[in-house]
Amino acid sequence: MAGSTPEEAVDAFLDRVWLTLDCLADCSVHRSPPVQERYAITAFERATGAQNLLTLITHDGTGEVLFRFSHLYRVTHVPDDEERRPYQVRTLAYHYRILDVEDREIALYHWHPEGSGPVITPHLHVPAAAPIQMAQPFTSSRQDEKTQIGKMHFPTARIFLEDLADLLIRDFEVVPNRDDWQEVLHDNRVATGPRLT
Amino acid sequence: MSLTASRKTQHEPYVLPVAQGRAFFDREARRVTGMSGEEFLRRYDAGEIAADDDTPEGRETGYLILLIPFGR
Repeated sequence: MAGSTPEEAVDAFLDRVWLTLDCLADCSVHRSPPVQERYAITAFERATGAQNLLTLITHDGTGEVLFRFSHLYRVTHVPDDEERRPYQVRTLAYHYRILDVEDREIALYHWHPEGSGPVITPHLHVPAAAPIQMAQPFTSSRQDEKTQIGKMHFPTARIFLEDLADLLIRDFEVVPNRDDWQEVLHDNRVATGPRLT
Repeated sequence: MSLTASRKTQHEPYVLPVAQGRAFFDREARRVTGMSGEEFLRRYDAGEIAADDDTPEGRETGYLILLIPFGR
């Protein structure tokens, strides 16, 4: 998100984050003070006061799924960019966590370019996926070996909160918190522009 | 893009006061690691915290690390 001042850029970005999360649950969004020019974001559920834990209602009110996230960004000054105003919010890292009501990991979208792990590009974990036995050539010594799908790092594009909201509503059958959620997500995607990292 | 006035912003201020941010980080640090927020930061700064992306505990530690600006 961009702005003519750093504050304007941050407000536009946080407006977008709040609108996206408001599609899922009644919550407020908050940012940290800057630490080495980096800011973190969290969300508080209004009804329960739960901090960074959104309990999302699914399947017409008969189920629940949990969502936690952490997201780091900074504000950059790009004075020569005429199309985007000079101050831009740039995402530095994210963890988007879809969990069941016992806090077990279902699907996790990660991007932590400064992390210590072997995969620092955007990726997806599906820890809930059971090991599978892949068919192998008849003579293979791996006939009885299981493939650990739940431990893999599936590469992804840069994932946005709008993508998560879409996934949660369409596939996890989260009951939207607002009727205009499709319009909101569409408008936010247009405002975000290209998927730049 | 301009947002319609009715859905432009939330009512609460976006900036979380420092004390509330530290309390939030402390709760998350205790939930994830069993350490206080202060101890987690001390050990993180000393290079004693690793976020192993291949275990549930490590992935939650990675999640917590991104919340550190609330704890400072």
